[in-house]
Amino acid sequence: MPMEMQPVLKIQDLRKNFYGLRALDGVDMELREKELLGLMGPNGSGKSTLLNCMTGVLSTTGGRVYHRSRDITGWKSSSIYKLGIARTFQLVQLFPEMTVLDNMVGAIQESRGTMFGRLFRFSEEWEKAKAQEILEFLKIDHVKNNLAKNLSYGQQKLVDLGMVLMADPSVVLLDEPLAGVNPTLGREIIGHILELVKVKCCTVLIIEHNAKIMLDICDRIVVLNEGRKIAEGHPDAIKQNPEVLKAYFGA
Amino acid sequence: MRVSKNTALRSFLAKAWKFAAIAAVLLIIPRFLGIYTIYVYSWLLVYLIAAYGLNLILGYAGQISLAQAAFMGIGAYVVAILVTRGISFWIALPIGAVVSFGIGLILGFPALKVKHHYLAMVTIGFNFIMYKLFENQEAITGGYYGIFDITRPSIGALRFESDLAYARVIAMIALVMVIIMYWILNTRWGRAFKMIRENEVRAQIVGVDIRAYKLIVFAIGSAYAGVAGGLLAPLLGYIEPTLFELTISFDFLLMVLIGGRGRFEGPLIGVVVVILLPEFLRITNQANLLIFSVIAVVVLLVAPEGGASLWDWVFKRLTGENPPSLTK
Amino acid sequence: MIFQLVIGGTATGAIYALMAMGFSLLWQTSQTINFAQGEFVAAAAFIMLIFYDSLNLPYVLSLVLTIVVAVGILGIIFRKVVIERLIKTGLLSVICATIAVSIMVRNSLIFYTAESMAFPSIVSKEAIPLLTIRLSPLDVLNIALAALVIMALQLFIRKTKPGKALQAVAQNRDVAEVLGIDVGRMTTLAFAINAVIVTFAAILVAPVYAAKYNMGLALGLRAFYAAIIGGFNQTRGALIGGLLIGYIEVFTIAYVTSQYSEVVILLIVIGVILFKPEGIWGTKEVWSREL
Repeated sequence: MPMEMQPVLKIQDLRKNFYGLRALDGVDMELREKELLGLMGPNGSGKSTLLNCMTGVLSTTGGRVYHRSRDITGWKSSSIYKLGIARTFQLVQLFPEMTVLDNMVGAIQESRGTMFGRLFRFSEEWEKAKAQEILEFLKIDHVKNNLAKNLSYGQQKLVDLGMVLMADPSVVLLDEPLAGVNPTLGREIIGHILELVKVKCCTVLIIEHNAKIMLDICDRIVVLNEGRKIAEGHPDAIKQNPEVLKAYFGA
Repeated sequence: MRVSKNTALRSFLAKAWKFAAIAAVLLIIPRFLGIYTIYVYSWLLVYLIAAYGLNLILGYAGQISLAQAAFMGIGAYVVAILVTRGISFWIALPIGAVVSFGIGLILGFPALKVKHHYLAMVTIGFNFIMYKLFENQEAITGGYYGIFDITRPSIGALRFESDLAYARVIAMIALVMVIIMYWILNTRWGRAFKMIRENEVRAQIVGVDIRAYKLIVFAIGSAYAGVAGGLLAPLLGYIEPTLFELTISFDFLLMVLIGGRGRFEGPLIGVVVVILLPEFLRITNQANLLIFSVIAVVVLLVAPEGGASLWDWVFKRLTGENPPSLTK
Repeated sequence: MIFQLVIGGTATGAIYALMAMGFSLLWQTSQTINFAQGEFVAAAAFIMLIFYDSLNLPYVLSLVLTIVVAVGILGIIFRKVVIERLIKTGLLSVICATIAVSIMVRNSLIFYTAESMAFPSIVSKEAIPLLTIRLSPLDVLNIALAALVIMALQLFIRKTKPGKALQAVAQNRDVAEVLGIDVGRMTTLAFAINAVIVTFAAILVAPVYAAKYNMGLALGLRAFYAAIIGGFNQTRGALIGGLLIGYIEVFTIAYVTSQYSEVVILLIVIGVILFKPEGIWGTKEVWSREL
């Protein structure tokens, strides 16, 4: 298969059991170069579980995960992070008692250099400049010295996204970036996501509940239900897919 | 890069002035203290070192250790045993620190597997077992009665025999230990510790080597207690097991809590409160412990940041701004 | 001889089991690790002494009043003032706070008296020779009373309405809330029950070991060991764990060195922590960190 056509992330027959509950029941999926893929499905369909398995947060019960041609099944999340695959969290996961700037620099401080070397690292001009740049991009640089726990929920979501961007990832996986966010901020976030794909040429996967937005912005959509993929394709096709309608509305 | 090296150097020199000033103050103070007060002064500085160790483990990395007393004991016994056999204090103390570092590293391994109350239990167990060893291994530790006649150090002809001289030795070593702690906490290690404390899962995802950092934190924190113990031995001239029992580990916990966990000034505040307050109140030991524990509970309920946040509040009232944090 | 040790072990173990069950109850219903459990027993013993010795009230009345006071202070006030505040800050804060509380209680007891106080016993402490063994009525009473309290507890949990609600909260807080159970009240109930449990543990242990301000530390640690070995999140585990500790303690003192007997127990505890942290009879905790 020619290089450009090779998927960035490929999931083959992925399975995940939780004490007998089949959260993922053999899912096949591809994430293609520079696309904006939407992952949808009713609650409990396995979307977050899929993301967690892909990023090494959860172990898999079966199946394989590939990054380009490399098998990354079972890899530790820190190793996957170092490959340039970054993710955000449904419930924002920051370092509450640290400043926003610290959160940002902390997100990449361990990716280069040795443990011992870090004891002697005194200047962080480069990292701070980069954090500043990203915070400006996200329009929250005015809170950079606030403690993360003191930010509003929306601001925290943006910091979460910012931390992900610090690592210059090639693949960004967003777990419900719009959850709990007011429409204005939501539009901003969508704008940032689109910029990510079109300007920075990242490959992005979004999990979101807001079907309207997803059908609007995504290049392709994959729909899960009860741990299985039930539909895949262009948003227009998905809109009319009877299986999808049944899953969401119980036809 | 060259530019930032210069600025780093310049800021270091600026700080060096402050350290020199503090050193001078620490050296001058004991000159004006009476026999008993010099003793309290020395005791305070010794406990300060151990408290900084615990603050690193508990306050910065969020791991619970109730074994600081045991490590003080290890450092103390190592120094006591070596010095009474004729080895120089200046060699014995580093050996005590290294031994504490090594054993602390071993204690770090359970910290990798378990957390919170389970870890507390393991450290309690360790403290208890060490205490029993100190008490029963008579051939090595002198058993119940401990070790006597621990002489104070000297360098060549210069002898630090007197209380005043030895107090100054303790003060200088304490200052060095605090400076080292300041350094560690202001590098990326400090930030990594905090990331582990704040959100271990996220820390791991962004590449923090949790295992390595947890082990290091235990090793360093315990080594600090070891140094404290090594200084304690010549201070008292003798050591015995009850100096290192479990309740002392709890006392260290109280000190760190009262001062504020994860605050650089915390151990200083905590130790000063716990050691100096009784001197002012002049009441029984039990009453003191009662008061400290009440203070600790009140602090935890009202000002979780500890006594340090009280200072913040005063500072803010006076200047209207947030006080600068001593560490990142 | 062995039979005597078994009786002794059961009697000691019964007390540890009681304390461990209270411990486990608090953990299950409100994720509280009460480091002050031992000190609570000591406090209850002294409160009992105040009513019985100083105020010269009859035994049963003293007991009732002690239970009332214990429930009030060690149960309700402890919960409302300390635990409720800190539970949101995290388990580490709760642990630190209960350690501080334990030091607080221990050192306030000494103001009453620093001496060992003789504690009233319902039955004679003299051992009765029975066939080839010497049976201590106190041991028998301990076992009987402890068994009674444990059975009463189980009955309460299984058969009464508040008991079942408590069980629901212990198993799944969120679901219980959705089902309309007042989780806050149930948690307070759990703390109140624990206060009753420690009071009974106090009247069982104090006659044997006398009441002293520092009795709490060793007791509390034992209860902790029991809960760890048996399993925190199953009351059954705490019960078995308590009995086990009792037996191990009695048998190591008798057959192995008495100096290192606690060390033996500790090594077992540490072993369990490292290799099967949920305890022998416990179930694996799902540390829910929803990502």
